[in-house]
Amino acid sequence: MRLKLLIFLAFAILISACVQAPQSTNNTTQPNNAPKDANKKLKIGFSMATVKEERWQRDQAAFKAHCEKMQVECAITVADNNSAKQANDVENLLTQGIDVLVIAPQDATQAATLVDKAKAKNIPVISYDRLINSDKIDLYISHQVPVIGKKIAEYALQKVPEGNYVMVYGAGTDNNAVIMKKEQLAVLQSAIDSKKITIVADNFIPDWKPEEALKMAENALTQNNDDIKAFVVSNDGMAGGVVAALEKRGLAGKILVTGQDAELPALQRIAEGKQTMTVYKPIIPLANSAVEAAMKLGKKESLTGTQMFKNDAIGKEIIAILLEVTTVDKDNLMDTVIKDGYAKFEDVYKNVPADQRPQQK
Amino acid sequence: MSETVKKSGFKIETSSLRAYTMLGAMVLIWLFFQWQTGGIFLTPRNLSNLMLQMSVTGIIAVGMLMVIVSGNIDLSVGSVLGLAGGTAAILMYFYGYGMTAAIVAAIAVAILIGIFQGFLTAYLNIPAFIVTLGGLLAWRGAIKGISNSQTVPVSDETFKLIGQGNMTLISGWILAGIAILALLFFTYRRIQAQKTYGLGEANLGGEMLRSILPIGAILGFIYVMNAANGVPLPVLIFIVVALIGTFITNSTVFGRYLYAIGGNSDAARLSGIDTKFNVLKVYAFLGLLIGVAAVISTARQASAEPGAGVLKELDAIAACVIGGASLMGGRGTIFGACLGALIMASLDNGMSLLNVRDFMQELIKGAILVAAVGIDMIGKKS
Repeated sequence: MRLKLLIFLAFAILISACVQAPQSTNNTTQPNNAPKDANKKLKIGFSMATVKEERWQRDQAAFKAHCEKMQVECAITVADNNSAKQANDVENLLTQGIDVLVIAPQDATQAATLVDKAKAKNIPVISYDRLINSDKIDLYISHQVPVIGKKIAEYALQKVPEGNYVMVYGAGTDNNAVIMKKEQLAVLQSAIDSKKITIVADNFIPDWKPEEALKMAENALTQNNDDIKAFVVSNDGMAGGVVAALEKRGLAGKILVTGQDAELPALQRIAEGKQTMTVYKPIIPLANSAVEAAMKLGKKESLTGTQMFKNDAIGKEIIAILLEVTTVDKDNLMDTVIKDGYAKFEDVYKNVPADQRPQQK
Repeated sequence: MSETVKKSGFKIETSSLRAYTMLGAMVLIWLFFQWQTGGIFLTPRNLSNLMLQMSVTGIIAVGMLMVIVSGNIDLSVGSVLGLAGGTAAILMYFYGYGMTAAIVAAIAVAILIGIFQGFLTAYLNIPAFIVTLGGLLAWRGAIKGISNSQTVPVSDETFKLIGQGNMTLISGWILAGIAILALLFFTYRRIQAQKTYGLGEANLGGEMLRSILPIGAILGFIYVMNAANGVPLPVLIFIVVALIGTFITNSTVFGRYLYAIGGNSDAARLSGIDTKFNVLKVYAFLGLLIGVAAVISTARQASAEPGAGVLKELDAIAACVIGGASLMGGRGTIFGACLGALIMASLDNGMSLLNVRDFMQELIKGAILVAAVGIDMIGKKS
């Protein structure tokens, strides 16, 4: 009994000693609202919703690389398509003492609470690529999602002015998918009204899952006896599922299929003629601009190159930096993604016989 | 011995009773969709799609049924499917391996994980729920790691055929012929066995009636599939797996041991059954089936995505439960599990044809799942 008491006391003393120690050695961290000295590295927190798609892998890599180049610290978290996890991630970042918060939200509305948390600590917030439904964000930086939606629909309409259309939208919880749907329908509306095109099936696909897009395409083809002229698909992952469904029916290459993100498998499908187009969004300029904007906000400098953007979901205008995008199809593959070094020639044309590949410049 | 319920002269085991009730429910669901889709639901092409869309879940459900019957569970199924499928795709795309090597590797990975998880559950006494929950997280992390979270495309045409090809019409009919002959053979054997074991003369009329329905179903099935260009290969694989599963659970010692272990594992152990080894075996078998399902799923999508299989385990468990399995163990049939998978796929397919919004589909499926099992439970005498 005495021995146990002794051991217990020893532990108690040890633990209290440990609790004291950090305070004495730790004099380098400062509370968030203390003035920053110029020598201290800025710390940017980047909370990502997912890195599952290839493009997000690039965002993550480019963001990290640019932070190192600009000599700022960055902490990146990934929420795996889980908004509860993203909430935890953001709280952890705020606890770590970041100066600026960049969020690529999993859920546009839930992320507004996260914005409030950051603003309560006077931390500037940047909404990255996906729009957060909050009027408190300091900046929205993206590739003009409405323009992407518009370009996809315009491309489809130009190549297929008449016939049955199937609209495969992204996740209903992702603001980008909602914006793209709105823009696509706006472009197609007059053709719909004049009965030139008919939308025979349309739906949001949970989490942008390719497998669900495959099933939707299969069922749409069955229902319309293969009489579909265009699949307006909002990203490359889902386009892959749609093309698989077409391949089974021997229709790959005969029906227009759109996409977004310029993922390597999609570029390969375009080279083979199975997918018709995708949208190339240079990721590196996006990530770089985000880092630089974060630095400016962190140092309380003013931003440049901004414009006002209306968030229809909340009916407010916000400050935004919007970057250019390019549609990519078989004809301009060489001049866009390959010329920029975004993708390698050998990778993109891997499944195309050597004699059918275009000349490399 | 399983309890039987006499219903107008036919003996039906109570564990199959739920399955037959669900059969009735499925017919209702089919008729409903046939009406609502304006006659498209029951066309050969859509039925072929339906069977195709249920085959991956169905194959997994067969294995899951056996695990559940033994009183265990496996929550890692979806993640293992993603990992196995990803392994196959990566080997082919990045390392240039052929189709056979990739398939073997995928199935091997799944079996090894099954053995590993089975060992932890059976021999180290860690609850199956925890082991496989850990597996759900870990194996998902693994596939994201080795694939760099990127979708890996599959270009091998033969491999893709596994998921996208059909049997020829003739082989479909040959298959039907073999199935009918086998059915008649087993019926004959059953009649003989009744005589041999002194159980009295078999009711020949009853036996004939019992055979007509399955024979009709086989013929009808092949006819419909052939009208839509042949039996899809994944469906063929699913049927083979289901038959093997039925054989194991009904006619092998291993299968009966599973029911014993699930019914009362202490009694089973004290009766001399090596409960630990049998549990290990059932997890390994489920692993084998997951590997097969992964190959089919990857071939069908012509790519392996890091999110492949997410929530598949819940589909499989729901299929088993709808079909009459008890999560406590000891009851459930393969036939029921396959029926459960078919019902859920029918709901998906029908609602997709009707263009029901994504969130609505989830709501409806959840409601029907609870209602189906609930109504059945209320009707049962406790």
